[in-house]
Amino acid sequence: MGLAAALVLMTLAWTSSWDSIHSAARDIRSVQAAFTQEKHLQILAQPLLSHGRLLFAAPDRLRWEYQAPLPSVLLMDEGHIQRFVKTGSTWTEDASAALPAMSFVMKEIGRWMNGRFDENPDFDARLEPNGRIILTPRQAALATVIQKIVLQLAETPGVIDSVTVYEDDDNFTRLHFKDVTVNQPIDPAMFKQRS
Amino acid sequence: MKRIHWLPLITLVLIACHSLPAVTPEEQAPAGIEAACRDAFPRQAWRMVHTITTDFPGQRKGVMLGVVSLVPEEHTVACALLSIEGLRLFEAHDDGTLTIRRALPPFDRPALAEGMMRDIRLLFFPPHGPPLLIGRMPSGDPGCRYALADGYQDIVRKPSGDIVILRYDQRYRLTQRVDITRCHPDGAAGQEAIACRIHLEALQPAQYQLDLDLVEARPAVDNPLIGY
Repeated sequence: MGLAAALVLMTLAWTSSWDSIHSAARDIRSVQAAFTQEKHLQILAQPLLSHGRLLFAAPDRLRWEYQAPLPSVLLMDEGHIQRFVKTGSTWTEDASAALPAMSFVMKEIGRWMNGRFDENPDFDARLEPNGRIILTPRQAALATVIQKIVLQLAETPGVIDSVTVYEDDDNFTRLHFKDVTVNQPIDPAMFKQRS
Repeated sequence: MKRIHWLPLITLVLIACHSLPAVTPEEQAPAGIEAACRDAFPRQAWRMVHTITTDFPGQRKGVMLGVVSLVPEEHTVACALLSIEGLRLFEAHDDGTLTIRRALPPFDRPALAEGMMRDIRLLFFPPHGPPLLIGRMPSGDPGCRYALADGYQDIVRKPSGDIVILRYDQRYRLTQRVDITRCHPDGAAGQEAIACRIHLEALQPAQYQLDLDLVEARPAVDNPLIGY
């Protein structure tokens, strides 16, 4: 009982302050996780569901891969961002106008993986006692794009449980992470190649 | 002799002028063809999600998600463009008046919103009013020709159930061609067939191509455009 209580205290302690979060993130060299995504839209009665996996290697490599319903992969390798989409049976590099907006999002995710939730000058970061972080845009122009971002930290130090990006009250995206492994080696090619 | 001299000039003028492809009037069951033309489009309210693929120079492609919620009975439509990751780039509602609810650059140009709604109406709504002509199109397939305020529209029913839509301007120039393959989407057994694959080729005035592939579709049995 005492050991269990100590473990709970240890695991929850990492979310108690920005310093403890930064400290926990310093030990993170890589993260691998599966995710499910719900896209809630006012014009849809039910959310759009998708799933995939996310790979991160410190300091700035990220692979954001959707396996279904539309296979695609967004790669960030030392600041260079590419997206590949499977159309039919072939993979093609995406050149859509959405990519610059996603570049902003990818860099932000990279910051979170490094525990630097409070370092983006565009957002005011508030840490709540239950391990919840709320990011609110400082500029009105950005607030028209993203109303707020809510991150729920997991019990495992350095790990995020869920991210909810609110565009407004009726339109938001929620990602739940599961099967998270930390500090397992990842082939660097995973951040350069679509498959 | 003089008449002979005029012939090359008349021939040149005829070649230079566009004309609409001939529609051979159908004596038998024109009402059936007209119904088939109208039934080519959704009759009930649907919410649909398609991938939208655009071709760019250099064999590059742009892919986004298109969400459309339409109520044919009321002739209203709401639509959204999303990045593949779900970032909402554009959203608009059109019930006769176009209301743009969100438009991130570069989707914030008014002409883009109007063009997008025009394309959505072309793909999912039949033209207003009865056809001008009903009969056999040059391909031999049954079809209908509608007169529009700014040109003409042909709807052709292929034996496979597929649909071809041809839009012409007032000078009879082909401005858009649409090829639609219909299916019964997963989870919507017993419902009407809807567009699963769409290829839209715009020729005039802007040139572009779009390929839409259905990701999911649900009949909007509840309040279809709640909140609008």
